[in-house]
Amino acid sequence: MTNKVILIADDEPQLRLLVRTTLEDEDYDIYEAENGQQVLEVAAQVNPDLFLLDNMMPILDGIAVCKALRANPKFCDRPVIMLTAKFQQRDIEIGKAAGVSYYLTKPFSPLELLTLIEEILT
Amino acid sequence: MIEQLFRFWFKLPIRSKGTVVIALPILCLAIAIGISILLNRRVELAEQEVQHTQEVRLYSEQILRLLTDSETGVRGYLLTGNAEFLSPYYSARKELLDLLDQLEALSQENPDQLTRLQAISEQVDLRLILLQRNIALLQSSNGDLTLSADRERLETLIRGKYTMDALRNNLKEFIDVEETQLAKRQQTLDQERALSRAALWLAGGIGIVGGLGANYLYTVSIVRRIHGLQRNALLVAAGEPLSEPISGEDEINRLDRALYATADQISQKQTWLQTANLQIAEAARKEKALLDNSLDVICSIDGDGRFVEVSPASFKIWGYLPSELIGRFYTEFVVPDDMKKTQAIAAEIIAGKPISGFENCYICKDGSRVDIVWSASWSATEQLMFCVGRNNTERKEVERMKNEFVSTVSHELRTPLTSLRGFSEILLRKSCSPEKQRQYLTIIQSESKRLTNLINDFLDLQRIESGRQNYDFAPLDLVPLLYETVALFTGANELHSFRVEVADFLPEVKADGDRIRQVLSNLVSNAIKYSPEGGEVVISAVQQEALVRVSITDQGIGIAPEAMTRLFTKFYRVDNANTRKIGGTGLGLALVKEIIEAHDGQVWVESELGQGSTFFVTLPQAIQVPRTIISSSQPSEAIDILLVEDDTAFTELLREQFAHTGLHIVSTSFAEQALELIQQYLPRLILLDILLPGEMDGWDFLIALRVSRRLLSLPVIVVTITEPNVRGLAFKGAEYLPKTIDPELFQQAIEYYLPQLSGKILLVVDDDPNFRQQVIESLQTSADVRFIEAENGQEALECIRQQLPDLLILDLLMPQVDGFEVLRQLRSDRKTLTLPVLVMTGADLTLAEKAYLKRGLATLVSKQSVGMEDLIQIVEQTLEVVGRQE
Repeated sequence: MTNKVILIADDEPQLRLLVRTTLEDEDYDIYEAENGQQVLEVAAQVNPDLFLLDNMMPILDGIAVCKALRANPKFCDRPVIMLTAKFQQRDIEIGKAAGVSYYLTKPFSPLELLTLIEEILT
Repeated sequence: MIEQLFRFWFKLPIRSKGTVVIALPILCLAIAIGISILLNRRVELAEQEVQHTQEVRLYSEQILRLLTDSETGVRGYLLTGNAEFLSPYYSARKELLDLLDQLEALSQENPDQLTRLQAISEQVDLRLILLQRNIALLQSSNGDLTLSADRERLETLIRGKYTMDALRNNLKEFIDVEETQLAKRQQTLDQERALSRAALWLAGGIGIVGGLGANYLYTVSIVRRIHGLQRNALLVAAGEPLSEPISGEDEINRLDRALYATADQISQKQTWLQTANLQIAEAARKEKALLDNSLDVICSIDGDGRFVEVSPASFKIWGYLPSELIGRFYTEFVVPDDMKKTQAIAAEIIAGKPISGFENCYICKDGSRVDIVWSASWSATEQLMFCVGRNNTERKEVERMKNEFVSTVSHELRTPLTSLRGFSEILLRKSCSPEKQRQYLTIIQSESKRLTNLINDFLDLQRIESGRQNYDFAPLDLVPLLYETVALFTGANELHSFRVEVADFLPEVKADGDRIRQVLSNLVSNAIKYSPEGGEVVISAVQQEALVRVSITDQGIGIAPEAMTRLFTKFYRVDNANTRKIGGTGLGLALVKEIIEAHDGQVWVESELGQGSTFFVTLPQAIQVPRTIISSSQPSEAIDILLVEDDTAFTELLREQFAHTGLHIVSTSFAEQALELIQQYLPRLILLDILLPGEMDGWDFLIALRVSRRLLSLPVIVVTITEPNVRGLAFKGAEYLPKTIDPELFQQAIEYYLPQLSGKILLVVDDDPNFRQQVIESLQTSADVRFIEAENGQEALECIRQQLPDLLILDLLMPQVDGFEVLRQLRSDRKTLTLPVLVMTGADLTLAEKAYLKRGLATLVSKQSVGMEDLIQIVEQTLEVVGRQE
């Protein structure tokens, strides 16, 4: 059985590092992207099982990336976890409409993230 | 008199006037008739007289005829004896008596004629008697006369003839008299008739005059005034001002006054009406203006949904002119998504329920969309829906921006927090290698620093934006601040090099030093961050009219044109791949903008993508000072010491103490006045008290002095009872002396600041002998000032070698060895290193040349801007500075 592939997207390098560190003890293949554009490029190559997207990214934001993924038959049913500082009901609705599967509000607990990912991928 | 009469006449009531007007011609007529009757009567009388005469004549002739007839009859009888011949005689006897009686009656009034008539009457009687006798004789004779009888008959006949002749004569006379009278009477009659005719004319004349007079009175008093009345009435009707009031106090006048009152009332009403009309017009205009200028579109829509009226705001909001909308259905312009709810709400409105705050989206003429918020109600009487629509796009945008701002702040705060929480949790939960631990802790540290900076910047910005930031504006020399800022970054940075470019004479700016420091470090920090490849960062400051412009230039990644406008908004960061690596709070430039704008300055950027950026900041100069030195118009009245002091006792003491020196001391209590005196006379020394009665105190005064280049080196001694803030004084470039100081020391201090030229040796170097002469003349204040002249650099250097002067006055442009070379040689020799040099030049110097002179410790004086009167002051000041350094 091959490892599950997770794509982490965040423009803050230390946050990518945080997620990577959180998941490093598990058997996941982790790829990184620092903006929305890269997410789509990397995804096309590595075919991730799970997307972990920051909402506020340069070039394409999380919502736009999510919409693009949902529009792609290859990724339309892949789970997307949105890491966001936006906590207003309206933002969540927008996210739901764009096809976000799970929300995780910053600052999140790494353990919480780990639990959520394991839950999704098993 | 006539006037009074007229006045009286005008006062008469119309009835009386009418009576007068009618009575006057009647009276005249009556008078004329009276005269006529009277005269007629006189004519009649005259006629009667005439007739009387004729009757007398007639009767007289009848008498004669009757007598003649009687004679004839008697003769017939005598001849014939026929008695029938006697009938005339008998009838005549009777008639004659009657006639005589009548004549007598006619002549009653004329006694002469009566006498004559008497005689005539007697003769008639006699004649008749004679005839009687003849008849009797015949009858008695029966036809045969006796002789005596015949004789008697003859005698009788003859006597009869005589009697008859006499009678004839008498009657003739009698008639003649009457005839004479008749002529007279006829004349009288003619006169009377003429008189009567004249009187008739006169009466006619009087009648006409009376008529005319009446007519005149009628015209003047009634007709004309009624015309006046009519005119006024017509004027009232036409609404024009009335002509003069009608005089008098009768009914016409009263009517006229009534007309005036009416006209007054009408004019009042008209004024009121005009005002009312104006108000109505104004109200209509305002309403129209309101409709026309309203930012909201105001429109009415009929029951079918067609626009009936639309205010001009439609153009601003939708891009459609009202004329383009009227008659069309509003549904044509509503975006399809909002159609359903719009129609539903329209149905509600038509059902009679007014609405407000209904939002929908309209399609503009150019295809763009605009959010409108509506309030509307249905008018049942007009069967129209009245709607007011406000452009809501901006408000929505503001709302969106607010949301975005909240999200951004939230994101910016939560991102470092996520690192803190995440890595600390990992450190606690997992066992990591020391290297990893160190890495995580470093991240935690830097992220907490980032969070701190963010919070600080954010709070700063909040404080500034809410106006709670207090600025301590003061004259500020930017130059040290620029170097300080560069120094802050130089140590910690290896990739970048820094360069400061500052104009030689940079005026001070009015600024808060701490805030400007913040601005500079923000900008330099940005310059470093956005030039990740390194390169040179140049900080420069130049004077630009009343401003000082600071610019910070980097050779970094540059800024895209579309980003430049938003650059100074909060949390805006240029969207590119490097942004996150570069970091930062996104508040720095917003802060810079707020601070600079609070200084009345401006901030902007010029940049080209990939070529680097230059940020510009302008700040206002501290105080505008005149650039040229004002020449003292009365050098003889030059002030040696200016005492700015309100303590008169101290002033007196000082005056007494220096009375013998001949120093010219001027004192004032007010700093403001002192500044004026300084501008005018440029004193050699100022003694200053800090506590002054005017608006400005001693500190303000010092500041005012120090912002002026001309006054910068003016020595100031602060004289005060208490020990002042010494550091403050040092900063402002002033010395201080306590007031209670020993007079001797005081004198020494003052003498130290007021060196005399006497005993000094001055070397004047210029290739223009006229100029040398001018300089020497203006500096020859006392006999023992020694001047040495040299006409080129070579000569000057030789002179100096022989005899070291106290001061060198040096021209720059000279043949052979020029001023620059002289200065270089002097400063490279230990002996002449400190020789004061005053460079006087007419040339425009480059910045490099000025900098060279500055390094050569030369004081630069422009020949054009400094008059000879000021030269002595400058020379003294130069010597003073040297004196103090020694």
